[in-house]
Amino acid sequence: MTPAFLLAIALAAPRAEPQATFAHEAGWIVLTLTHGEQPVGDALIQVYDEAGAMFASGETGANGRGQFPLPRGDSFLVEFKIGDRTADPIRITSTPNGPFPGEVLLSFGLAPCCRVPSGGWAAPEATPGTNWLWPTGLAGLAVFGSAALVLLFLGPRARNS
Amino acid sequence: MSRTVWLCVVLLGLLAAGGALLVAYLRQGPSGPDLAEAARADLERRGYQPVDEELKDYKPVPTQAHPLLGLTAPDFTLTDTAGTARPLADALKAGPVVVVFYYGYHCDHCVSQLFALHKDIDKFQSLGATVLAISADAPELTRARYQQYGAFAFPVLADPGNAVATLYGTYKPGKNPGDQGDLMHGTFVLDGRGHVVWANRGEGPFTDNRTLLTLLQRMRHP
Repeated sequence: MTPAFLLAIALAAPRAEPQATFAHEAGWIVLTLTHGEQPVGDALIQVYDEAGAMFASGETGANGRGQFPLPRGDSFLVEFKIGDRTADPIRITSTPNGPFPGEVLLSFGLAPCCRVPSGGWAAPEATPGTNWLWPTGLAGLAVFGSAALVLLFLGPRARNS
Repeated sequence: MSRTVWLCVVLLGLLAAGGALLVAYLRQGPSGPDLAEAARADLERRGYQPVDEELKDYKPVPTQAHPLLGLTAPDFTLTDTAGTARPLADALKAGPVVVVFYYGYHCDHCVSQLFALHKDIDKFQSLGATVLAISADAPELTRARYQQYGAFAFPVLADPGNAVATLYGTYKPGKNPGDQGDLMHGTFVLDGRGHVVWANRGEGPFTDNRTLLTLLQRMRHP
């Protein structure tokens, strides 16, 4: 494993993304889209049935709400487009207790955390955390380089003065 | 000042710098920075606090969309640090299972979620849940890290080829043989029937144990 690889690892804290809730109401699916406590209006909704055919489409209202008839079958797919961002499709299953999941944290093309070297991980002995030798060597080189510069530039001046 | 004096000054500087580096090396050890300490700092940055209060009013983080949601979790049998085969099915016989895909002992945030789970493991166990952590690290490597940083109170399983991670959508192999693959952190809650009821994936570890415990509590006392 190279230090460059470690640098490629993201440390970003999880971002708060919009949430969608789903509920059954008299044969309809009622959804609400919020971000924080605020409703998300004008979001494009597309619903696909179990066979993958477009079943319904529309936009959320100013209150973040939208509704469509319950599609036939055990499950259906909902896609949201908010501004220019398209959320990962959500598969909703109809259960006796209502739609599952009833609440979803939207994700937008999940980013991978890290890249795995093509040859897999090195043997344990070769991957003891950060390689401490190269920064040590680099620091040593810097110290010696600085010393050489001091000798080169200040040495003659000291002799001449 | 004479050249000799300059040389002495430079030599003294070099000795001081070398000494400082040696001290730093000895303090850090040949394995680099203390991963356990770094993981603790990472958890602090993420606002993690051990769970010590009632969770009945806690609002859990909702699940993300995931193709496995509502479906039976892909079965697997992986080896733990002792070399014992651990089938998922066996864990499910005891109740719900929290499956955590972490990144192995390669950096502080890669492993920090495991330290957080370890701190709250008694809460998970009291709810009848089993925690299984999975990474591509070989059992020998995990054993070596256990000696350095201490063992976790839950099974840490080896998935050397990321085959199980691929099934759970936390690893995407490269397009061509030899290409790099993409790895994500992933946390999954499986109910006692083995269905995926909650999923979270992303570039960072999921360290909100309150969410996981609240979900498990609701499963036990709906």
